[in-house]
Amino acid sequence: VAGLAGSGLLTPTLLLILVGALTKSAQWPFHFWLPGAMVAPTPVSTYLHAATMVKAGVFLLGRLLPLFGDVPAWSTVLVPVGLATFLLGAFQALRETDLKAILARTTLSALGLFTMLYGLRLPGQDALQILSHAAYKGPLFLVAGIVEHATHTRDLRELGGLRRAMPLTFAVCLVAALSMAGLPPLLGFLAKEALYEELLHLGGMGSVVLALSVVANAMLFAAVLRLAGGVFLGPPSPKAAHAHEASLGLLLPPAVLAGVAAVLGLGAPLAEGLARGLSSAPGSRLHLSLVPASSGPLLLSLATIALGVAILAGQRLLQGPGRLPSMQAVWDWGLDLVVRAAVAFSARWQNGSVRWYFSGTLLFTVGLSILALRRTGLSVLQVPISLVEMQWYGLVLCVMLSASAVMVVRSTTRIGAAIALTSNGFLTALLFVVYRSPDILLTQILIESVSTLFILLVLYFMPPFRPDGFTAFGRLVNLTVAGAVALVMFAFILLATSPALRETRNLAADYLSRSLAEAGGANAVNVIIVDFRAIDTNGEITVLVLVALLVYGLLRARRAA
Amino acid sequence: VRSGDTPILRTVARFAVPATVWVSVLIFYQGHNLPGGGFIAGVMAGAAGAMYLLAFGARRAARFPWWKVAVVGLLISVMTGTVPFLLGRTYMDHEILHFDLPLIGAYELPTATFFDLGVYLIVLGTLMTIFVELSQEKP
Repeated sequence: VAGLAGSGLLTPTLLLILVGALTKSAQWPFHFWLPGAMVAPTPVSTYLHAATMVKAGVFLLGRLLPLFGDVPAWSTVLVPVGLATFLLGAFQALRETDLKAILARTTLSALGLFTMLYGLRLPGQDALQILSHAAYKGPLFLVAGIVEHATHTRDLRELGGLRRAMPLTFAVCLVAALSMAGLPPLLGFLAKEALYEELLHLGGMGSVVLALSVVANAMLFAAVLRLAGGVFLGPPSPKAAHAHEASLGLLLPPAVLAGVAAVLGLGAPLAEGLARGLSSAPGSRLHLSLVPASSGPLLLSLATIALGVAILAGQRLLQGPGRLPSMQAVWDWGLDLVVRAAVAFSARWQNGSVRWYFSGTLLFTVGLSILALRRTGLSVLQVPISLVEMQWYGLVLCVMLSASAVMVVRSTTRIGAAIALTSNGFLTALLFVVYRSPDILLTQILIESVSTLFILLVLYFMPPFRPDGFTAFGRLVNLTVAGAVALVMFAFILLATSPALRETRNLAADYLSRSLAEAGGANAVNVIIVDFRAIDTNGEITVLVLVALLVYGLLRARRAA
Repeated sequence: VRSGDTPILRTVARFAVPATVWVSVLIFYQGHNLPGGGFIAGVMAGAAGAMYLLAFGARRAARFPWWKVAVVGLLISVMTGTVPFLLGRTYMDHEILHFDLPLIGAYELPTATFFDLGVYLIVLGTLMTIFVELSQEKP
């Protein structure tokens, strides 16, 4: 860890580990998978989803605490996330009607509490809280299974009045529920008192944590009593009419667990010994007793119960049709949004129109060139232009070039446009003859010949030409793009060849002087291609090979089909 | 595409195709010091190939796997850059090799020439692949 701290990777490392641990332990905002995973038979849910599996993330936090506890991000992440889960789980439990869903939400809530405690660096209670949770949540899950077995439903709205038909189950459920509600003399009471005792010592922002913990515990109180009362009290529902008491084999496991809650509650010293022995930080202060040592925790417990009773009385208000958007819905909505945005974007930008792509490419180039020109700090207007150097044949060539360009656009047949384009290309080659640039001249002539062949080959497969029906606005846009390209290229070339620029940064002289000495070649153009800028060329030739393979593959595959 | 099945074109092509290829090799060779180089020479060889294709038909030209020429060219180019890299220098760090040959005497060969050879083969292979494949299409 010390090595990590020096490299600056400590916090990122911790955050990534925390994301894993929090997801495993179903902490907000990664909590939504847990209720969805509760489809298994109740014993499986009890064992996997309420006890072992989700605890693995919490266990990881407990093991990491000595390593990472001093990193600031540890508390900053874990306390708010744990507290939020603690509250959210308890609140959502009040709104569910499915027995297992209620228990799943309260499990989330408990996991939030554990996470928060580790975040507060209070590991002394971990064994106590987990023991207490196991001793009440296990029997409650199993009782939910027994009820479903007897009535074929887990919906709180279809249940009621089972106390007569299933008295033993009711007794087991009551013990577990009262332990969860935190009433004496059960283990849940001891655990909650110890929690309040610890939180009271925090001070500062700890009072916020304490207040919100009281609220969360009150909601858990209301949720579990609503569950127990809804199932066993009140008039028997139609579904409950044929219910029967569970067999011994079904009843024994929850009874044993509820017995643990009762025995450890009554035998507080025993619970203390167990909690100390199993805790990951046994040296902490932990004193369990049914008779509170100080009044603070007891008053808080009373406040919790009072608030819980109030919530229970007013809980019908929470059952309205409006549901909070669940994280599952938010997640799905986000995924859907990404897909829809991508589709909308693709449909608009990748619309298949070559003209559209070409305009985009040109405008981008224009923008980039303008930026580059501005950085030189030179003005086009200061470039001296002398038409004398141009000679009369240069002027004639330029007029012919312009005429051929106009012919390309005005032609009404494809072959006419192709011929005009080719003559434009060869006229450009003539320009290189006039201004003595043999290397580019050679390239221009060869490229022009080969591309003429290409054009003729492709024209063979093209549908008959039909004039584009441009609107006035479309023509204006095309004219603007073309005009912008022409203007910027004009300015660019004018500046690039101006004496002012050559004085400040003369790339040509630099290359020419180094060409023969460093690369053993007198032809600077070729030396630039294969030596000075070889990596650029490397990229370009790779693209060429890809094009060859694509053409080969696509056309072959189409012919084969 | 039907080949231009004319005796004139065939007769001309019999001489023009080898001549163009020979010129392209010369242009490639002189490229480091005089106008020329792998790219232009490759385009020229591609033009010779197109002439052959027009004169004798796509079917004969298609017997040769042109895309492999492009791939081999890319391998050569990349190897030219990789060898100095493996020797602990930067990628594409060219140098000039000096030889003392028996009859010719002292001879300089920049390693960039191998890179240029790759460019030549890639341009030729790509052009020929596209020419051959396009001309075998039916409208």
